Amino acid sequence: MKLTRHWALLALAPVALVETHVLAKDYLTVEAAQKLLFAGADRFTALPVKLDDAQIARIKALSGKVQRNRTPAIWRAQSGGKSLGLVIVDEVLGKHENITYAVGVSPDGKVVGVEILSYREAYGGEVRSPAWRAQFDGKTLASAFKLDGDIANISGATLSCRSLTDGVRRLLALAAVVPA
Amino acid sequence: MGLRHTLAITAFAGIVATSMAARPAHAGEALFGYLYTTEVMPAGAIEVEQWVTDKIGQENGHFNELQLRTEIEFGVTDRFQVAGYLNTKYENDTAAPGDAGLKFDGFSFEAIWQLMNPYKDSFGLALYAEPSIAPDETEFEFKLLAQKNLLDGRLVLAANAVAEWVVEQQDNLTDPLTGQVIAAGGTEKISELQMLLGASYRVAPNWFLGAEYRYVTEFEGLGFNERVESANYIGPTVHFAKGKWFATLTWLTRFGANDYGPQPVLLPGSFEPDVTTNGLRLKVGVSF
Repeated sequence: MKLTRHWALLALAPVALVETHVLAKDYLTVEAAQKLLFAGADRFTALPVKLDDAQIARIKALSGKVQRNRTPAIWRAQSGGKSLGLVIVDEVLGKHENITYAVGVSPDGKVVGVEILSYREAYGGEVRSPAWRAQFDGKTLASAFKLDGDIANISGATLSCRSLTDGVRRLLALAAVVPA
Repeated sequence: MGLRHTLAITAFAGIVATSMAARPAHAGEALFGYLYTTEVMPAGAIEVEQWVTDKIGQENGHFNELQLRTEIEFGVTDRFQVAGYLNTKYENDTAAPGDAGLKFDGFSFEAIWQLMNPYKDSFGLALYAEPSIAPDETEFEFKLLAQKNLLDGRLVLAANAVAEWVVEQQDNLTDPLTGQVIAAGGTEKISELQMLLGASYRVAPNWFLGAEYRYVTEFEGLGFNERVESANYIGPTVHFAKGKWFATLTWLTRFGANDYGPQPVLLPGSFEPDVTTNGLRLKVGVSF
């Protein structure tokens, strides 16, 4: 019986080792993400937006994706009173948890940058790498946004890549329907 | 094979898995208890799963069989994974009370080839093959797996079509009181078809709730020609995952069972393990 207990404890050895891994979580505040996306801005003004049915339908038509949050978190980046673009903070599905990210959109509808604020999965943290995020820079609603096409997939994090790719496209559509 | 041997093999498997280089990868974790989705592990990833299936109840009385499967999965490529199972069972059969206890129930090998990825293609599609060898049984299972993700991945639909061939060595069936042979033993050949359907919805981060349906029909012989019985099973499933761990619990209950033609001879109080009225399956897994 004693020996059996020892074997049972041995069987739990991998559990103890795995528990030493630290799960990634919060990396950036909203303020930090705003500054990274529009370094030249001297002011970020919150835009209170409540999307109506027509705007939701327009976003779906432009991006092919459903905008579920009717009160998205949007800020206008300004410098000397001039608009530099929008910062939109959003959440998409990761494998187990939600991913919080921010997208900067220029006044002419191009992606200025993508920042990951929170990534809570045990795997697939490569979506935070500058190289992967840089694939979105300059993209417009006319871009393909195709995984393994113009956006490289990360093996083992396909759902996160899919969600972020769809999310960035959806936020470009959102930026297009928000009053200038 | 005793409990000590089982634990020893489990411990060894765990150590081997742990000692191999950890790679950034998501597990091909089980969203359902009885169904498979088409997701496979990326190349180099390893996952260890423990299955516990409790087959509960039969029409002719109390029956309980606990099936234990310890599995190690390995991603060979991003589209092809293999797995090995150590199978044991604990059977509490009133017809043979002296036989109760943990028994070695063979080994299985599994291969899944993903043809279409549910996140990159319009739906997921995969082929599955599983040969098994047990002391008194040889089995081969082939499955066609399909998966469709809806609502940005919040809702997962899955379907499996299964064909199974079993060759079983049976002992003579004797009356325990008189010792008289009731039915001669020999080699029994069985084929089986199954259709499984499942839906699971992400109700909150880390949590999926859903339902599974399973239709089973069994045939005498390996050619699907002489139908013996069929049954439907349905029930809820819950899945929780966090970090590298997941657990899935499914309960299936039988309805609409049918018998066709002459049935196997059963002693009073004896049971057929494959035609239980209820099933409870727990899967716990960890990826490396």
